[in-house]
Amino acid sequence: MIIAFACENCAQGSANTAGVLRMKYDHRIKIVRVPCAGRVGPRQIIEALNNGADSVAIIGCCFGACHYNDGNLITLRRVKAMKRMFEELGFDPDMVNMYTARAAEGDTIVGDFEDMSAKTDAMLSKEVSNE
Amino acid sequence: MFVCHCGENIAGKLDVEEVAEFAAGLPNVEFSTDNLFMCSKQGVELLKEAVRRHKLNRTVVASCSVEQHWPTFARAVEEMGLNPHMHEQVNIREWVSWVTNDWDNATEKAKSAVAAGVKMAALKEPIETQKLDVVKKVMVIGAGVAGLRAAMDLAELGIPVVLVEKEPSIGGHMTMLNKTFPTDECPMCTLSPLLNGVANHPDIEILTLSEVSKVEGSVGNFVVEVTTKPRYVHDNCTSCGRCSEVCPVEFPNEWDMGFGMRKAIYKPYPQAIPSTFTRDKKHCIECGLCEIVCPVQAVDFSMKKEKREFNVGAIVVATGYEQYDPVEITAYHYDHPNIITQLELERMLAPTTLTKGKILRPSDGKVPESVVIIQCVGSRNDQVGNAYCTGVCCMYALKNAGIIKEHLPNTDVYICYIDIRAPGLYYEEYYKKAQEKGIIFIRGRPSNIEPDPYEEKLTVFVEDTFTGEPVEIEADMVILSAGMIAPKGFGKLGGKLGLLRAKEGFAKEYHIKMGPMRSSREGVLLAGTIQGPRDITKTVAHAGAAASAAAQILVKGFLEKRLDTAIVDKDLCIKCLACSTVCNPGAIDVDVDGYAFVNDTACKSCGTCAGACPTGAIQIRNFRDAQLKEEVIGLLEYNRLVGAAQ
Repeated sequence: MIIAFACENCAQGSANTAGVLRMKYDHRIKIVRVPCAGRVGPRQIIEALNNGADSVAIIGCCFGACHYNDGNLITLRRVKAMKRMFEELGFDPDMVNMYTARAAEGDTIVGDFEDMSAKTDAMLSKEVSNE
Repeated sequence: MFVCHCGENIAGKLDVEEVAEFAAGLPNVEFSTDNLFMCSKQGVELLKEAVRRHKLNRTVVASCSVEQHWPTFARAVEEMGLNPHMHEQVNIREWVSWVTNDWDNATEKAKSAVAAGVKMAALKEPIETQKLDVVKKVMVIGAGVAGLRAAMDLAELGIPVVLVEKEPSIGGHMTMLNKTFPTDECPMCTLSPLLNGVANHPDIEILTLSEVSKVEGSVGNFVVEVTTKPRYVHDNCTSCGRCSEVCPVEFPNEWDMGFGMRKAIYKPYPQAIPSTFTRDKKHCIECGLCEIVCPVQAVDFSMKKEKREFNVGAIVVATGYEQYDPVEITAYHYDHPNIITQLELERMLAPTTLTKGKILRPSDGKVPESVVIIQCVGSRNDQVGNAYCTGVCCMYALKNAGIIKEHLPNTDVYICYIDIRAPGLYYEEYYKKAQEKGIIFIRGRPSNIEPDPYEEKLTVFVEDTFTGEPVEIEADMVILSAGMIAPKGFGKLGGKLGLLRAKEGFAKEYHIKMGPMRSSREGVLLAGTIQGPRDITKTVAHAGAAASAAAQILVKGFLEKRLDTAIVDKDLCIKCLACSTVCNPGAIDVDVDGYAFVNDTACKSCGTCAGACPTGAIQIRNFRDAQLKEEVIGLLEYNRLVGAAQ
């Protein structure tokens, strides 16, 4: 399962556009509505992973186009810190990723989704082989 | 709990009845059903009836996106006496049925979404709306045709306007033009009723030589500081012009693009409004003659820079454009006196300038025998970074070529173009008419202009792309159709206003189709060419739209603000103020005890503070940590159970 926190502006708009265009993507991706990518902090990421998500993604507006100025950049910084923390703890840093999308272009978010599934699959297969 | 079929859109891709049955078994669910179209009148009635019969206090509809039909159902529950935020919308169309191929997977995904929605609904909290008073006053920045139109439209609605202009007179670029396409009317004749109307309107305050220096506050209640440069002439000036007569300093008039002269105490042009003279401190030699001759003692060298604060409800930005400076394209030798831009030609054609409206070669005053007009200078040009088409150059080139042909029928007029773009009513007709006037059209962008070092002649090198032949044109004068660019100082103003800008430098609109007059910031509207190049017709329409959008905020007298804002739990707050450092609207202050304190008016509910808070003390209503956690659990729990069963 992949939990995708999608911001209210570009990311949800893009997900809706992708739906209208009948694009297909991995059914394991579950979208959670948040007002801004900036809303997602370490607590949300950890809770999602704790409750059984294989990976977490945060999707915001394009950098420089955040509707609240720079919430997406703040979260990008948080995600980078989280990745470093996961690495130090011996987990895969790909458990959390930050993406951007454009509301008018459904393929941007589908591209993000494809990348998410690919990274998650790679991560899961690595885990299996380690066992 | 209501599951919508949306005709075949959802029911064709997943098992709606199974989802509704599954929902009925979830905790807290009193009633669950499916319906063909929830958004239809019958669907909404069904929801209302269920609320009444089962005394429901929360509703969940699994159908389309929040943007599309959350308001429909929220209104319905509001009519039933509940807070509209008691309704939860689950999107199983755009996010499930339309994007999943497999029937079983889609059904499972819809079930988990519904489970999350039900969990979320149980935790939803009522959100009140607060009525905020708005200041019924608008500031219009820039007094070109867009600013004037917006100011007039607002003042006619009874909304007082402060019109800020950085130049000594109002009117903008339009007053500099000689004729306007497609009717070849005199722009001053069409503009002056508006100019005079604005100047004499009791509800419009005009501030010339002024610039915005500080902007604070938010929609409905901005505090704007305006800095006014001294004019050194008081308002009792009768515009007799004696000061200008005695002034010994004379140099090229900027407003005439150098095709006219002015003194150090001057009026840019005879009809300028306000008609008060202006002393140009930079060029003045302080001889004091003007002070002596002034019959009303209006000249005062001791005037100082002034700062004033205005309280306004909305801001209309109409700062217009700047002409592209072709000096950057070295192959076109713009520094040569006989190579001028279209705006300079417009001034040359005006009867008040040095040439008295005659078309003469600037270097020696000879009547030109051949004139070449070059299109797309600084637009449609990736090399200078402006990929966009200005969209008006073709039309004004046709206009000016026609005027040259009328003035000088024996002169050859060439237009070197890439494409002639004349979209819209009467524009293509105008192009046809220009073709009949005997203008020579050459399709090709000139590679360079070669000035003759001994004579005043110029040679233009261009490839005629229709024949594939290189052409050399001998010209007496070359006119460059320079494109429109965003004004250079706009970065500073845009920063003060907190506007996003497009990469071309223009202010970014809220939505290119549905909100071209709104900016990225609420309460700041865009009028005219600051949003992108456009002609006068479109500018006036755009300014009217900006005025009505500004009025929309103000006419009711109050704003309804949804209080789904941030809230601080003082018991958890450790006074680190990490929230306030990430808060973009600057809505988080410190209260007397040092705790974070949220200003509901300014808060935009983005939640970045909640993500930054180390203790979870600051939360966004309806997107609290606990609520998001439940939603995530809802999404995952169902699949975990299914996974375990397998």
